[in-house]
Amino acid sequence: MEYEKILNYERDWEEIKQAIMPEDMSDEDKEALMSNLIVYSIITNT
Amino acid sequence: MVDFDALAAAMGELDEDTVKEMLEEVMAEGGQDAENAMKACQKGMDTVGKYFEEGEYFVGDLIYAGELMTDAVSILKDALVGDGGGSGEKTKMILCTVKDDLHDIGKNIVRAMLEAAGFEVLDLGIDVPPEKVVEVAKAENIRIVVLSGVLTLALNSMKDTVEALKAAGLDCRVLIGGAPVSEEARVSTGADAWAYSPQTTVATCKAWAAE
Amino acid sequence: MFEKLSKAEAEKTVKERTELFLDVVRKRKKPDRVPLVSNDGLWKLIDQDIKFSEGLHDYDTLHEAVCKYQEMYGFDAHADYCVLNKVAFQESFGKPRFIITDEPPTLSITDTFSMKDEDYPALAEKGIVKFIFEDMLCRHYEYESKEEAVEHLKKAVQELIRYNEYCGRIYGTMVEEYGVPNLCAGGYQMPFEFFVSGLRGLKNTSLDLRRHKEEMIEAMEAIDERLWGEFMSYAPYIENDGTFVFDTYTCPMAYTLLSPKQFEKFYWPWMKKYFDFVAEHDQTAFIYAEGAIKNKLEFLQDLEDKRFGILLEQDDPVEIREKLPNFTLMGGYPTTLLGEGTVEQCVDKAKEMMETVNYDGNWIFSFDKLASFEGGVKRENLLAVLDYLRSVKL
Repeated sequence: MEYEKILNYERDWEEIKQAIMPEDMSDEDKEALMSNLIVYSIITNT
Repeated sequence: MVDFDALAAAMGELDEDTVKEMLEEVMAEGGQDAENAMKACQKGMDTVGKYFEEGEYFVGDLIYAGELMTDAVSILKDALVGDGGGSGEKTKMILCTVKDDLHDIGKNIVRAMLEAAGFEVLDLGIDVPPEKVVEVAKAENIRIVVLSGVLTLALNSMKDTVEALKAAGLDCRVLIGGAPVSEEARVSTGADAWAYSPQTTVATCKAWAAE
Repeated sequence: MFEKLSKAEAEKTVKERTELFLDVVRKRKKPDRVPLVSNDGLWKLIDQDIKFSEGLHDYDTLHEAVCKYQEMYGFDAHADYCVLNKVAFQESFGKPRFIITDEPPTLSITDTFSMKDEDYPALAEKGIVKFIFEDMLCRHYEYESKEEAVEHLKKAVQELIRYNEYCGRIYGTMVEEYGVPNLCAGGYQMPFEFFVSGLRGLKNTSLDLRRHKEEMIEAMEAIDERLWGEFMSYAPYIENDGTFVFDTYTCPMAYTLLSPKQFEKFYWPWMKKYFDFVAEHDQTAFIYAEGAIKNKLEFLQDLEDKRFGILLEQDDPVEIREKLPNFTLMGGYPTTLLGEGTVEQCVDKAKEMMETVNYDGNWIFSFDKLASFEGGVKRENLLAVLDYLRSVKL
């Protein structure tokens, strides 16, 4: 399975961000939360 | 023809490329020098232990050394006499991380160094209950048990294991190792020895094996 | 008991506590008494017979447990409000890394590490966020499609929001209802920590230190773009409004792998940058030094006086006080004695530490190792020690 081919930052980041974030959040907050979400998905000691 | 002093030095300096190159050369030459090569690696591991005691090497280097030693044994194994090096019977011993503790890095470092020192190590893994240690100690006629743990919680399990071995009437020497151990911990757990460094663990086990 | 306070009382108390801490850290004067900081991990739950499986999944239970803990023991600050392990958040990705047992109460981390040797160039080029998004997320959690990834990310973001809300709530409650300042306002993490706590693990990081030296450095520069960038977005603007003790903190843990030479190359440049920032902005900072820091003391000895604190786990507090007079020592009281000793032994130890580490008032009481297990601390011992320390006028 070529897992690295499933998500592409340029293609998917914005779309996924908009799909999963609460609608009433500002764009800036959505971006910060998305960034933290991705990092914390792998890094435990934050 | 491999220079065994150079091999020992390379192992001591954790020069992976040189060690593996030399070991491959031993095997390419037919493997008849495999035992000498193993002894050279063991001598190199003594140097690693010395550097650790002096503060030159630290935990990451011991982990690296353990892996390098494991690789060395793997390269030489087909040409070694018996199960992994050295002529004659090896002393069997038990090593494990005690119940409720899942850490294994320290245990694995110590295992590599004990094997390098010529022991046959029965590594029971992590989170090992006392009854498992007793079961294997009985079945394999074990006299030396090393218990590892990182959490302070492990001291309770170490005590339970020492008591279980005594209750089973087994004449075992027990060493406790890992972050929480101390002389106080040795006394409260009933163990025979304690060690923070792998080198001390190996030296103590060697002394016990010689008794 | 240390009951909840009125709004006015809480405002007064939090400022008094903050001033007490600053008297110690800034060496403004000998403090009136020893400030008391808890460092007991999840023992808060054990002390109240709350199952880990329940408490760690229910933020209301956690919130109540932390409040009751404060009411029982009356600490001046806490090193952790049970926020260290984001259990529910991690589980929402579908591959839990925490193993929780209730009998006995234990929380362990079991981890697989999905970054490969050959990934270093991609990490350096892409940066940590894009690298995890493209190369690690689906690989680590074995998501076989974008839809599967999105399904889990949707759950995970809700859990992260709940976690963030809990953090905000408990910090606020402690300040506004109990007059307890937060230990710090923010923090910076060294990029090396990422290798051990997610990317490569202990073993592979140890091997990489010799096999991929320069690649590690390049990767850390890329990781630090995010870490330092985030820190710089708020740290220069921190002003102590009397609701927190230290301006920022750092929690080195992975440094325990490193020899002094390795520390100098792989850790110190970033740590020095942080300490230099703290000094340039006349801020205070504390190091939550997991493991033992003894063999790296030379790096800390020239740091400026009157701004740094250090919480010790394995080091001898007497030795550290002697070798790091420029640091305020926090901790060092043996947790094992609180669990195994008598009341008299525990109080005697506190008296001894008043002589051996608090001779000049530059000590903040806390324990050494986390007490997150059954029998880790006996309630009567802790109460006796805290009562004694509160009674000593300096």
